[in-house]
Amino acid sequence: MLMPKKVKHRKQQRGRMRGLARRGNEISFGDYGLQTLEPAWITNRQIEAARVALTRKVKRGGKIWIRIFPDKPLTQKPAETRMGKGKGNPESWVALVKPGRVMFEIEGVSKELAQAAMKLASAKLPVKTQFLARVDLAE
Amino acid sequence: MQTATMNVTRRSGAKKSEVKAQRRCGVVPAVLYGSGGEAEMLNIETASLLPVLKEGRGTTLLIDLNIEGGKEPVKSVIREVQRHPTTRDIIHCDLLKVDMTRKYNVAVPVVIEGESEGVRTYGGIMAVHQREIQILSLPGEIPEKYTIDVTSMMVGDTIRVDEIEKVGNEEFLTAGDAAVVSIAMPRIEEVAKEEEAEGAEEGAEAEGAEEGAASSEGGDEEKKTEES
Repeated sequence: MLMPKKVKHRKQQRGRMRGLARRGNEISFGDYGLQTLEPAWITNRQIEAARVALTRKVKRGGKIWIRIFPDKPLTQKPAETRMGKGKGNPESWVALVKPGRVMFEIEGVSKELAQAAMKLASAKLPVKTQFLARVDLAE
Repeated sequence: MQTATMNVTRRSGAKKSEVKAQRRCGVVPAVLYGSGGEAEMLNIETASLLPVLKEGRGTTLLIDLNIEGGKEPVKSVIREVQRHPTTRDIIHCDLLKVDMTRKYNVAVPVVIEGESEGVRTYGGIMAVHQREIQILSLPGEIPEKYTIDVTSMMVGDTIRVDEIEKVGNEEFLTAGDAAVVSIAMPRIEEVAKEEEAEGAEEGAEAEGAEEGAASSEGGDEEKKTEES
């Protein structure tokens, strides 16, 4: 699963999820993309589940890009622990996404197949999504 | 080189609230700059801008701007179009006033035509590396697009910028050896052990059967193409 190789600080503050994605909101690599319409933390497990759904649907052919990376550590206190005594232990990694962020891109497949694959991937994610297609001269 | 005509009006208000109100009325705020003159704030009707942007030709189209109160049309090209991240509505448009005797740096779209033999027969994957080619050209000679026919391409073939046929006297700024389109064999990836174990757990009733299932299922069809 995706996670940073090395981090400067093990624990982070949670922060806010205000505003829209000002970067990464266009299709940059492939022909079709999956864009989030809500802000959320996407865990590395969810990203992996979506990736597997995409690759299984497109089978042979097609190239996929994952445009988000889970670089934010999430901490959790052990079960049945009293409050206090400092922040919990890092347990998982998440990617912070804001509305407009293109999370996955795909190339080399038909629009129908891309749409079906993205629908499956979307079901693995905790956000409302939108399918995007590159405006092409051929269309 | 195709041309288009657009009627625009001068914009006085630069405040965010004023611009937002105009957008609600179907008007796109724009700015016109270049050729040594001062930048001018304009308003463009969305209905007249959309046909110009249709089919991705926006940046290669020479536009005659009829500015309200102006004497003669101003030659310009679209430099940038800003869109809303989720609704895709046009938020703002940058127009560059052009001098017809000076060369400009323009991005010309690449259009792929046909289905490659390597993809159709051998199951290769077509990868488009350059969707635009940067060129230096006179405004009157900007090509609308570069069409690349990939019908005869086999697996392993690559078309580079040098191989693109020039339409006029333009000069390519994108490196000549940069790949534009290539056909590659799909990469095969073994499914991770975790996935195999999960699949086996679902199928197997007893714990003992789990190991056997994982090892037997692993090899046959649980292989798939992998992205980068």
